[in-house]
Amino acid sequence: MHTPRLPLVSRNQALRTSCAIAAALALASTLGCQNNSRYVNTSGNDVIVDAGKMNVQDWALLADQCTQSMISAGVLQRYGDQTKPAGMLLNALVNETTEQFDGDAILKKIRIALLNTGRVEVIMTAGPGGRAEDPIAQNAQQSKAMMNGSDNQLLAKNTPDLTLTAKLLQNQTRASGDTQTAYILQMTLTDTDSGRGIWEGEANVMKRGGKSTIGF
Amino acid sequence: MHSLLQQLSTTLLLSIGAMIALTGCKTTNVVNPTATGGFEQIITNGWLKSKASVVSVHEGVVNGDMKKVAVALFSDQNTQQYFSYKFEWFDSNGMPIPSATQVTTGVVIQAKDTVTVTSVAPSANAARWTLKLYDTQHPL
Repeated sequence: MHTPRLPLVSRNQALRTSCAIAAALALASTLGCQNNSRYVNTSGNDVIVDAGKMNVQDWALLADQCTQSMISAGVLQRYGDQTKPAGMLLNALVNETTEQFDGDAILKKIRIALLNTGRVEVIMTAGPGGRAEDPIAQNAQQSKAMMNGSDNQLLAKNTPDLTLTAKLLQNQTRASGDTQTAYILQMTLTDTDSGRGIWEGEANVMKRGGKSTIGF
Repeated sequence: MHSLLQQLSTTLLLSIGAMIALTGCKTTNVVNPTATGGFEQIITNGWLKSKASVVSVHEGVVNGDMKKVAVALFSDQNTQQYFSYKFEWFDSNGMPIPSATQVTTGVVIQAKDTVTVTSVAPSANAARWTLKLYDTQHPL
């Protein structure tokens, strides 16, 4: 039986078409579902990265660097142990960046990490100007102090042994359509007896890119 | 016609091979400490191992009672490479200890260079750690 042969031009065209289809299939199989909304691991490496904006990964990176530095320095063990942790008050984060976000996004992570060491407790019933972070707990403590004939503002446990200050800086430069942004978190731990800084730490995150992407 | 079919099947096989290779680059390498004070590497991604291979592990205690680990990683590649890593900590019963600051961190490693990644345990209860290495730049 005679099988008609395709002309050379048609064969090349068929080959090119099949290559294009195969490539499209391969691409579709790897990228096909990317437009669908989905949950991502907040500590994973597939969050959306924007070189010009902070994200949840940056907050965790900055907090992680600072807490690791503070714990490694060993200063906390001079002030408290698992049975009698040191009392700490944290100042609000000074945000010197152009971005608007709640400073607790970083500070809360640092507080959690410090509390988990067992050597520090955060004072919730006192603060600058008598403004406690937890007013309900402050009222309850005041009531208990009154019943015992004392003033809760004078309770030694409401006086911090340590205080923490934090400042976030930003440096941004652009070249050839790319944006490079550095975020710098600076922290100081102060001993309230001596009034001296006993630890200082600095954490950096630097990103560069043209537009938002997923992952590192 | 026969050679055309042969070329078509070769193209399709290459496409499938590329897809398998792309899927393979997503696998994770794991480093665990051993009871003798050494370490074991579980390699599922040979390319990742070529740019992030463990050469030494050091463990210590900071802040009185908290474990700290430092892992040195070597790149055998001739060009700058990228990978990322994450430490996970477990208590003496093998339960994972959550950490608010646990994060996957990206690393740039120069050719034939060694970098040291470190982690401090999230609490004094942490007894064991594991290091997970991820590929973030595949040549394909």
